[in-house]
Amino acid sequence: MQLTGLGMEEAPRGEVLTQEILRDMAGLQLQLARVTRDRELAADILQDAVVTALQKLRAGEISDRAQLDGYVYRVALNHFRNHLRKDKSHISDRDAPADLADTAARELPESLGQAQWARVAKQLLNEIRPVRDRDLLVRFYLNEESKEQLCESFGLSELHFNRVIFRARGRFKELLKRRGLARSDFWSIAFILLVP
Amino acid sequence: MDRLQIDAEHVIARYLAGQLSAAEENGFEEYAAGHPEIFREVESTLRMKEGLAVLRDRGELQALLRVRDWRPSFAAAAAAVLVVLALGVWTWRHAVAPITPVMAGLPGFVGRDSGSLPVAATYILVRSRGESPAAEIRTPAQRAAIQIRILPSVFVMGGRYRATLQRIDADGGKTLVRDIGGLEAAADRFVTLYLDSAQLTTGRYEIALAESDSPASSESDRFTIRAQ
Repeated sequence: MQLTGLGMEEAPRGEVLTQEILRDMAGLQLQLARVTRDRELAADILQDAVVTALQKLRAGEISDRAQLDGYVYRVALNHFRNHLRKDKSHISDRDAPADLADTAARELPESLGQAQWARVAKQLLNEIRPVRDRDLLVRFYLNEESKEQLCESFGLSELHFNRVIFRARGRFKELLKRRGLARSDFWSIAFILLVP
Repeated sequence: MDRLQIDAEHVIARYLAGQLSAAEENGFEEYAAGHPEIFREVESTLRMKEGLAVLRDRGELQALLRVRDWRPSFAAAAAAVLVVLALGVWTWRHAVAPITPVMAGLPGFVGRDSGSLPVAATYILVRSRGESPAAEIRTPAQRAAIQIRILPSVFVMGGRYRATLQRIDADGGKTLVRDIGGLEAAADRFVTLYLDSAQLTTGRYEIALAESDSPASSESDRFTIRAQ
């Protein structure tokens, strides 16, 4: 991994930081890989974002680690959403996302992180009662159906919908944390790595 | 936009799905620029989406969505416990009760376990004039069925009968052991009952037979038996 734009003396420290940032953005990177159907491309996008952020840090445009991470995330997220929009514009029917996902899955071997999150997601789904609420969760997060559509489809009130999604979100975070899979030290990794 | 709104309106998931209006999108991005910690939530949401996507890729998702709730609700669990408890109590009471002869009108049914015991002996009870001595019934050494055939004093073709078995206590009091309805007289006019010898402990009993539809106060055929 090359850190273009950094001085030679800063490169090792920058590389460590880059690894940490990328690790904390593994979810974004994998979702980006999914929409681009290219893991290399996803890694490059994040890499570029990190390098730009480090340059800004050097130039004094970014003052702390939180801003640094925020910047990287924002840039990468924009890429993700742009690719997603592009992806969706090519989709003409409801079954297409599954086909695309299947293609992506065939091309990209499952990583350890993916396997762990899948395990947590599975536990979450198994805990959710009734089954209808599991369906609701999947259709909201995975199929990206709107709240209005889902409430109408399931005959649910907005209150019920909010309750199910809110609880599931909280539980997923709790399970991630319990298994040590939450974003590790996203904002607390020693900023000293870059600031002498 | 503030954190409360972001949480309450699932803004992150909707942002990632491109479901926000332009104004909402700007509002969220403005908030995120000033509060980069919100990206923790974004990352968490992306990990959930990825986890679900992996389950779908593996072909496991549909099965997870089809799995029916198997865990009983609290009410169902409580009801099940009560049923088990009731069965336990019933079994215990019947197992330890010293006097529990069982009657039934159906051939082959001789006890609570509906076992097909061999018939060890047959006794015929016919009403006679005057005071009759108690019929002596010898319980066999091995568990067996004791057949009791009763000739009702009032025979009604196709009619139904009800029999009761009561234990006669030492003081003359009676304790109802069993009340069986729906008995039918055979072509030879006899109504047949069976007793399980294992449940027929030593003592005196009264068997009464009456028409099912007759009022409780009406006269019935009564027989005293002594088990020994």
